[in-house]
Amino acid sequence: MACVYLNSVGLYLDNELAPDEQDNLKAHIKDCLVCSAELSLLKRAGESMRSNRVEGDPDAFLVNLRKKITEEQSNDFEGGSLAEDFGKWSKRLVPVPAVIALVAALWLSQPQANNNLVDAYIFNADNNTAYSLVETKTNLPIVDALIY
Amino acid sequence: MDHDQELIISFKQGNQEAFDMLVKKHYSRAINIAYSLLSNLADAQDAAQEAFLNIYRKLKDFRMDASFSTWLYRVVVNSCYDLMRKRKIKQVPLDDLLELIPAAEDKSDYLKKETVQLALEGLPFEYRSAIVLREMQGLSYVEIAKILNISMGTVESRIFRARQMLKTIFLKKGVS
Repeated sequence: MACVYLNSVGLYLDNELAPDEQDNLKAHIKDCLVCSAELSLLKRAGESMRSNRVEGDPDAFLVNLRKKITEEQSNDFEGGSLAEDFGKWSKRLVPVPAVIALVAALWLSQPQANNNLVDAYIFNADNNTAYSLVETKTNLPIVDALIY
Repeated sequence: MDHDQELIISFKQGNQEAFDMLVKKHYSRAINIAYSLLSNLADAQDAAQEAFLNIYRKLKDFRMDASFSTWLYRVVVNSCYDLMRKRKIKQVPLDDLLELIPAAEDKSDYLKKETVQLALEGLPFEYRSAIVLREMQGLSYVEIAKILNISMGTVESRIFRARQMLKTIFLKKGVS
């Protein structure tokens, strides 16, 4: 069965407990096989991580870094190419067409109840025939004939 | 005033060599954190380059009351995260990881550095970064909280979970 102090072993290892808790757990671990095994496992895993170091070449690294800095500075000095500027701006402008498309989609999704206003406008500006046509607007052949 | 601050002031006054000295001083630290997080030296070099490039761009605005090391750690961790996203490097699933870890005659061999590094690849990035800062750099939970911009409780929980996951991997391989 797991010890109730098992979950505190990591905090003990990291010295993150209050000083009196740190002392109490130290005394407990001496007598508890479960907690001492846990401490040993965590210690070995930590030591392995610390031993897995790479050296690299700081001089070569610095040469490459300086090269990049110089390139960036010369780009800044020249103000960047037109294509680069467009590239940067185009990223910022991406939302604009999306917003236009969204607004258009919302507008088109509205009930088209007012479509007949065009007919009404045309025919109201005309004569009595128009009035009778609004009343018979579902009769497409008549509408078509009059519009043309 | 510490040595880092002297170098930063000198850089702000126009001394480019001061920046080079800052890079050389912190190179080993940066590359080792990046390597622990990415498990690949070429990727680690790229992430460290990007980190120092970012530092160069912003060093003139660096506030002298802040710690340069804390800032460096944060920039390196962020560069590693960005590189992983750009190159679509993903966390290795536990089952795949168990197959990747070569069989060892002696169970304690599973705790060798290469195997532990491989096991780290099975941790989510946020757990990995917390445990690496703790184990590789020996930082306190308060310092890790500042670097990762999270609470102390979150640091504690991430380190605990990282260790639990590593333990699960080792136990599945028969390490006790």
